[in-house]
Amino acid sequence: MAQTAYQSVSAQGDVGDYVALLKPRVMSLVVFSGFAGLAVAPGAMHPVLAAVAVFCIALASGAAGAINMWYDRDIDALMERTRGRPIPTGKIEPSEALAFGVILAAGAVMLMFLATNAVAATLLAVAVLFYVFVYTVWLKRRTPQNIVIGGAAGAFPPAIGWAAVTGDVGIEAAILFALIFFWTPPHFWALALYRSGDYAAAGVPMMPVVHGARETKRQMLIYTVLLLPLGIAPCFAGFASWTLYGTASVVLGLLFLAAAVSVWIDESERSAKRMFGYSIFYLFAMFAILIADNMLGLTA
Amino acid sequence: MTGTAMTENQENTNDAKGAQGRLRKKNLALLAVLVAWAVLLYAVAILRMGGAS
Repeated sequence: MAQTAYQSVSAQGDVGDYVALLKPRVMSLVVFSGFAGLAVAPGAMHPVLAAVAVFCIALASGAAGAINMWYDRDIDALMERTRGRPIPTGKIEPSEALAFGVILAAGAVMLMFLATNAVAATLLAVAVLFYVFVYTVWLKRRTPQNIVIGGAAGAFPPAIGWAAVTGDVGIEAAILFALIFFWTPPHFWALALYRSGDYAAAGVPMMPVVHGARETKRQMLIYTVLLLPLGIAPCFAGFASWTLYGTASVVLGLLFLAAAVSVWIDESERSAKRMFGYSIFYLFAMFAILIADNMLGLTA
Repeated sequence: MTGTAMTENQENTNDAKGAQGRLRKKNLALLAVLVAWAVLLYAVAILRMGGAS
């Protein structure tokens, strides 16, 4: 009888729920930026090992997401956006999610070390630990600067990809890191602007909840302005051309700025939603053009 | 009363069968993942020993 009860509880979740634990939508951007770092890095890498390195980044990103869902299960149940996740709905037991995340993270770091080098594996481990302990456990519930500092975790992937090829992190990897680091606040705060009620209900001190929409929009604008020169920094550093990447990054950056200005002016949620969507497109496009630029050999 | 009890029993049996089915699927998925993991480690180790970088 007890066994039947145990089975019925532990077997509620299916494979899809475990996939959902990995935050596949977040993972796609992480994987793509990691691949970009790997693709533009100087030097050659065996294609199978390169694929394994990208797979490790995906695995580690998913693992960090699963551990985050385990830790945040209480507030996830309170927010409309997250209450359908596998743990709040009871489809997956919290302990299962934690074990799943820890095993995946350890496996990803180990495999990265085996397939590439110690620098890439260490960066991967640091990224996961940073996301879990610095962002999730320490900052998220304490300060409105949570996603500014915590955003560093999401900025690691291109540097990891770069290190997987070169075994080092130079100025180029630092530029790609900074690009995502400064992109994160306007991206995330755009979402927070139209989900502030959710965050307030859960007691998460997001910028719009603590300092209001006006201050959030002002800071989004500042970060967007800072992002503009970072967008063209790869051209100055010599790993992207002005012809394709430089031109595209200026256009995309100005559109980003226009979106931020629109959010600043518009009192409704519409422009914030539009900016959130555009910010995702922006990062995908920037890295896609950087890869294309590199593959076409346009860099001087 | 008897009819209600029978319906409840039937529902419990269906629930248990559904749970068992999901558990079996999960176990098979876990098996597939473990096999794929072993193959991946083996392939990477062979490549690295062969001098690939």
